[in-house]
This record gives sequence, C-alpha cells and structure tokens, in this order.
Amino acid sequence: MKYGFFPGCSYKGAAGYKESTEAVCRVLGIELEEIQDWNCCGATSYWSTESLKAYVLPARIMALAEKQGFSEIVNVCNACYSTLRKAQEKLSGDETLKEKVNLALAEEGLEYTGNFKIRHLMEVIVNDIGTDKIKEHVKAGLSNLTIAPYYGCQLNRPWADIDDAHNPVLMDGLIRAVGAKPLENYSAKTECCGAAQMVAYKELCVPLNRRIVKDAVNKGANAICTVCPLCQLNVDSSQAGLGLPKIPVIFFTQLMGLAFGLTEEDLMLNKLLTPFKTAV
Amino acid sequence: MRESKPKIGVYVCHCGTNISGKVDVEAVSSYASTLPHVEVARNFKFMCSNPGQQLVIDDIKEKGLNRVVVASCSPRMHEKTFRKACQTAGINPYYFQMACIREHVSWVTEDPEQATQKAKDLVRGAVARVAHHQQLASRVVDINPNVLVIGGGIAGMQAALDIADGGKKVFLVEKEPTIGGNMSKFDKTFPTLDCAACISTPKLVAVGQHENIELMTYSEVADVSGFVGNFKVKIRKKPRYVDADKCTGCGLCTEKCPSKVLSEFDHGLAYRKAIYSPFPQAVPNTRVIDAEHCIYFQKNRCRACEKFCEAEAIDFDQKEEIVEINVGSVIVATGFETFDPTPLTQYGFGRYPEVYTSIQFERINNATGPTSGEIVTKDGKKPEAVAIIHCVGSRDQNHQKYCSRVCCMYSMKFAHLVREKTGAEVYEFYIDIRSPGKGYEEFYNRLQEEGTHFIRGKVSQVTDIVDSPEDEGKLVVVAEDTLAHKVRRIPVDMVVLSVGLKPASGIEDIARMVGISVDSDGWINELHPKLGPLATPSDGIFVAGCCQGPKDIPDSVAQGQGAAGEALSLISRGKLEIEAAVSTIDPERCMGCRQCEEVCFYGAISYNPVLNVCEVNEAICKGCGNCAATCPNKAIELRHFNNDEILAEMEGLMFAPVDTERNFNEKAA
Repeated sequence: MKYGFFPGCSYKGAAGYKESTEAVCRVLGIELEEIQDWNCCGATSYWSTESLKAYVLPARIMALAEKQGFSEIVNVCNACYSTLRKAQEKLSGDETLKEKVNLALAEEGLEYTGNFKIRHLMEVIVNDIGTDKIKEHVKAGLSNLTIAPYYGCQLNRPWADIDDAHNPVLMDGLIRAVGAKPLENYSAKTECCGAAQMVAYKELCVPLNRRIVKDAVNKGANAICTVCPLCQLNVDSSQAGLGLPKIPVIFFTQLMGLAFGLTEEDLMLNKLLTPFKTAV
Repeated sequence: MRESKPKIGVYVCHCGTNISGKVDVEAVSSYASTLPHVEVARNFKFMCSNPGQQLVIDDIKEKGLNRVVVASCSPRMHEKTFRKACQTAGINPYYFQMACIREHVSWVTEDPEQATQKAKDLVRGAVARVAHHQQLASRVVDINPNVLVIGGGIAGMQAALDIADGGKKVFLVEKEPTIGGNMSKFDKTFPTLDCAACISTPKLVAVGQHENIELMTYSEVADVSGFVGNFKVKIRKKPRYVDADKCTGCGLCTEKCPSKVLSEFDHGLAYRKAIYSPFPQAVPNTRVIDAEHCIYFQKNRCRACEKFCEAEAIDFDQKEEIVEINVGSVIVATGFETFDPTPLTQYGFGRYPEVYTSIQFERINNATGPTSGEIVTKDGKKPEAVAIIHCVGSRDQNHQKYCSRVCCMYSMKFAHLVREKTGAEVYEFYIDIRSPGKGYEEFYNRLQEEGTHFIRGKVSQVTDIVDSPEDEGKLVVVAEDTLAHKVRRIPVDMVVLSVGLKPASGIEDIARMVGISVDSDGWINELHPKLGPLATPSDGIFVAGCCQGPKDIPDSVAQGQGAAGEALSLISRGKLEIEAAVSTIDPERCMGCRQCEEVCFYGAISYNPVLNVCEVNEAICKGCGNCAATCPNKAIELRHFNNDEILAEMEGLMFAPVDTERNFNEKAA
C-alpha cells in the first residue's frame, strides 16, 4: 500500500521514530512516499499570530501532495495531523479564505482543492493493515509488558471520528495485537504534554507531564507508548525533575518493531533518555 | 349543482394592525366589491370579534346574502367561528370561504404594494370558489364515555383518578409490571422535601382499588383504530406467568428463586430475582416472571417458585393475550427516560465505579433502594465530598440542545440530602441555576446558606489521575471556575451526573398509532404551544406529563388533571359533530382497484367484495383528499373540495378580470 507521507519537522530528529517507522513499514508492506519540497505545517502556535499565513503553510503541503498525485496524506505527528485537518476543514467551509490561500499558492503554480484525506500512521496501520495481519508478523513475546497507550490531546479532538475524543482505544488494540498488555485504565491517555510551550513555559508544562508519567507508573505500566515526536520528547525529557520512578517513553513503531523481532539497534532504542529494555 | 344564484358578502379583517399594517385593507375591500356576484364588501378591525361576526349575520339577514368570504387569518384559526356565524344567520355553514391574508400575506410579505396585490388575488380566488360551494350537512355521532390512559406514571395516574372520580370508566395501560412510573423511584421531592413514596403510594393504591379503573399493567397498546368518540384499541397483555387472581403477593417465590438479574428499577445498582415485584409498594403486587432470566424457561428445570407457592398461582403456560376495548378518547402519558451518559466519555460513567447517574442516586437515597437509603460508596464508605455535575446531555450542542428543566432543582435536592445524611462537602458544577417555580428560588438560597459549594463551570473531565496527595483514592473533577477565572481540580468520593430527560422509548409507535406527531427531539407535538397544551391535532387524543416535554411533578400532575378535564368535557357533550368535508365514492364508477385503500392514512376506506367497490367510512375520513387524487377512474369526490370548487378557485386566482390594474400580458412582455 502506497501513501503520500508528510514527515513534519520533528520526525527525523526524534529518538528512533524515523528508523522504527521505516523498519515497521517495510515489514508490513506500507510505502510511505515523502511529499517533495514540503514545509513546516506551522503547528498550533502559528494560528494565534498570523491567521491567513497559518492557512497557507498547511495548504501548500496539501497542494503539493495533490500535484504529486496523492489522495491520502499520512502524518506521524499529532500536531501536523491536527493542523492539516483543521486547515482542510476551515478551507472547505470558507470560499473567500480558499481564494486568498490559492492566490498565494498560485505564485508557485500550486492549487489547493481539498480533495484528499488526512491520516495518522497509527490509524492507517490499525485500520488499513488490521490487527490480524499485524499478528502474523509477531515473532518476539512481549506478554510481560504492560504498555500505557498515550494518545496525546490532538489526535482525536475535536473530530472524534477515528476514535473517542476522551477515551480512545485504537492503540490499545494495536498493543494487544503485538502481544503486550495495554494499560486499560490509563486515565492520562489524552492529557496534554504542553507541546512547544515546554520551551517558553516550562513551569506550567512540567506538572502536565507529571500527570502523564505518574498515572502510568502508579497503575503499573512498564512503558508509555506515544504516536507523536513532541509528546515523546516532552514526556521523556521532563522526567528528570519529577522525583518519580522513571518510565521509558517509546514510539508505537518501536514497540511494533520489537514484536516483529527487530533489534534495539534497528529501532534506535538507545536514543531514548529513559532506557528501555524488553526484559524489564 | 348550484342551489341558488350566488349573492356574496366579502369581509376584510384588519386584525388590529397584523394585516392592515401591511395590506391596504380599504383597497382590498373596494376591489372585492367589483368582483362578480359580490353584493357587499367591507373591512373591519377584528372580524372574529362579536361586532365583526354580527356584521356578517346582519348582512345575510338584511341583504339576503347566501355566500360569505372572510379575508383574515388561517382557516385553522377561525374557519369554525365564521361557519357558525353563517349558520346562526340561517345559511348553510359550508357556504363560507376563508382567504388567508395574515399568515400567507401580511406576515410574510415585505412590500406593502405586493402584499395588497396578493391579498386581492386571494380574495378573488375565494369569491370565485365560494360561488360553487354546495350545501353540506355534518353528521352527529355518539361519544363513547370510556377513556384510555397510556402510561401509569404520576401524570397518567392522576388523569385516570380524576376521570374515574367523575364516574367514567378508565382503562389504564402500563408497560411495566407496576404503575408509579419514575416518581416511585425517588426518595424526596423538591423543594418541599416531602417523601415521594408518602405522596405517591396513596395514589397507586387508589388507582389499584378504584372501581372505575381497569388497570392493565405489563401491557402495551398494540393498535388503535377509529376516530374521536369511537376508538377501537387492541391491548397486548404480556404473560406474567403468575395468576393475578391467586397471587397473594407473599413474596415466597422471590425468596426461593435462584436466578439473579440486575434490577431495572434500581438502574443496575442492585439485583432482583427472575420472579419479582419491582418495589415493595408495587401495584398490583402480583409477581411477574422474567422469562429471559428464568431457569425453567431457559433450561427447562428448577420450577422452585411453583413448588413453594401455596396459592398455586404460578402458571408457566400463560400466553400473550390481545384484549380489545372501545373508548371515546385517549390520554397519552408515556413519560420520560433519563439520558444515558455513556457517550460523554469525559465523565467516566461506566469506567469509574463511583460515577452515578442522577436516577441511580435517587435509588441510593431511597429507603427501598440498594443501600436502604444510606449514601455510601460501593465500598460501603461514607463520602467526604460529592460532586454533582449539571446539564449532562442537556443544553449540549453535541447531545440534546434543550434544557431538561428539572435537573437544577433535583441536583440541589441531592446536595441537601448529602449534607443532611453524611455531612460531606457538596460541589455543584453548573452553567446557570434555573429555579423558576413556587419556592424554588428560595430553595436555592437555602442551599447556599447550608454551605453547598456552587461552582459555575462546565466540567471538562472526571479522572482518577493523582495530582496531589489529597487526590489519592479519589475522583478528581476538573472544571474552569468561570467566576473565579481559574481551573479547579476538586477531589471527591462520588460523582453524580445530572442527566437530562428524553422521551420514553416507544413513544414514536404510540404517536403513530393514535395519529399524532413528535418534534425533532421526540416529544409529542401538542395542538398549540400556549393555548392547546393538552390537546393534539388528532381529535380525542390528549397528552399529559413528560411525553410532551420535560416537566416536574407539580406540572405533570396539573397536566394529568387538565387532560382529564379535556376528556370529561368531551364525554359530557355526549354527541359530536363530524366534519362534512369527506370523501364519497361513486359505486357506478368504482372498479374496485383498491388503490384508494392503500393511500388512506386513516383506514377510512374498505373494500366490499360483494359489490367489488370501495366504501368510505365517513366518520373516520379526515378529508385529506389522498384517495380522490389517486383514483384512476375519478370515482371519488372529496366534498367541499370537488373539481368545480378547486378549478373555480384556481381560475379566480390566476385570471384577473381584464379591467383590473394588473395586466398579465403586459407583465409577460
């Protein structure tokens, strides 16, 4: 299966996200073809300062994808995913805005029509590949692991169409499919990690991450599993000052890779700040 | 066939300024006087007033008018008024025609000139039509004095009691094994805090013992046919598998039954047996076997109840029964259900054991409930803090947009009970406090004085995430306090979701059977939101209580009594005049294809196989005209809407006499 792929700015630098994503996609036969000449989506912060330009950024990515013939754009970052979806929703309901955005895009000979689907890789794997198919590739036994599925706050809000907004369960099924146990009563699964505010307002964001970590630790998880580079970075890096037992924060693709029998080196688990060993 | 040369009077109503504010009524009446056969044309401030009607009556008598046109409001409003005036003056009431120049003209047209023109056009159509009107005689039928009440909650019980006390026979049908409805689940009632059981149990007993009430519990309405004064109703009596005449209600069977099921009456907080009675004061007290969970019905063994029943009342062979009754009117009082908060996943209902719905909390407070009225957590602990979340499912764009009206008040009642019984801190999370009612605002003030914490803010989540040591082992309620401008995280032991009200399931079926409609939220549409709150567009069908919209006990009781009054008033008339504008089938032309029978919504047409023709029951026919439009042989005529009349009206509407100011040819060019 082939998809248009928007990696976003944080993907390549994230701790083994790129390596594990590529490895897992190879196993599952998913082709992620990178959109050529993509730009930063502007994330959530740009909206609040420059409204029109904030639409042009994601619109350009989507226009490029259209020009390059993709009908679906796969994201690996919650902020990219929600930014693109938000832009798509606003542009589809506002012809004037769409005209303005297209005027800007016309400089490069691009046009935004909105005729495609914005998706997240985790959802693509669960819904398009399916848990039965995933199970076929599982080689390593992870049954001793309890994994806290951390969805973050942007994946399902406000749409709640691929999963419930407040109590999502999609990743729980994925964790089960690779042989581990999902932490079903993980209440912090949609708490906010603070995203980029961690840089400017650390004192406000650390307590947010404390919730995410503490709920997982208290309820007996061995690791927190994330679907977004910024979530991973925040939850992993903020643990230094929490005074709580440390818990590794891994990408869902790394967990899948381990189940598929890939090595810790393949998945670059050594890049995690809190080390993760399967034999915990 | 015209009986006499038409002499028409036209009356244009100002309706205060409702019509005259937009339509030049002078111009319309003087224009009307130029139309063919018009003897007299006038305009008047209020045609529906006594002097207005007298104008018509005097003109008929003095000028010998034999046709009348009133240009005013919708015929739904005053057609009957003016028909009666015609009759009083001595001409056939069907020699009258109404032109609607308020709803169809002045209220909906911006330009006064266009409005005046349209009013003239409509008057011209009416004048052309009325000349073709024929004399019709309405018929009179007897009214069956029996009344059917559907639903045995407080509204239905009250309606049944009032009618029965008035000496008329009532059939009270209730789908549950007992009457009492939702009210019998409550403990105290706001704002007086009198005990719900103390005030409702006597009603249950009175209904059960009244010689004029035939109680049909565990029964459902299966079919309704007929018309006002003469309804035929089929009631499906579900088998109880217990002989009501023999059962003494001793309860030994329940004690011995080995099968446990979550109790519907306790909303899943306690277990009942497969043979049971919902609550100790149930009326009737006859037990009922839930076949789905009975070991004998499922596995063909056990029969413990039968072995222990000294009265030999158990009857596993009971079958469903269809009972046919005849009534003259029906009161629909099917009540409400509470909103299921499961979709509001942020509140954790079903995930956290200490999150309750309000109806569950009613049961916890009730002496016959799962905790015998003690407010304790599922672990049996007395709570130190309780949160009550308002507007769960109500006033919510994602769920029900309406306010459920009773939640603020019952939430405050809970707060009082919690403080009284446990001394716990109570946090009420509200959007607005709505307390319009006698003594309601005073109750709100009292609660504030009692130390209940009112936090204005919609709760964003209920969670067990531990932020600080005091959150340990608690549920944390998170909300933005919009008065203090900060986010509050309050640890509590119990959370009560004040869920909204929605129509009881099955209301659409009942509505369809009795020929009434429900609104977009599922509540029954009353005849008029202000002036016809208990009647419906279907004659002889009345509504009472929450099936028409959320309301509290006093309002439900008032409606029950009001609906009883409506039914008794109908009965005291004894006879009823039936609309003459009905269909007739010419047997000479009918070829018995039965297409009319298929399109008749009211079941007024039947096929006569002997003569191979279809026949209309004029008493049932509502004059909708479906059959007349469908008949391929033009064998059906709808009286008062026959081809002559309709074509004359259309000609009148479309073709102005040449000399008028409006020239169609010119316009077309």
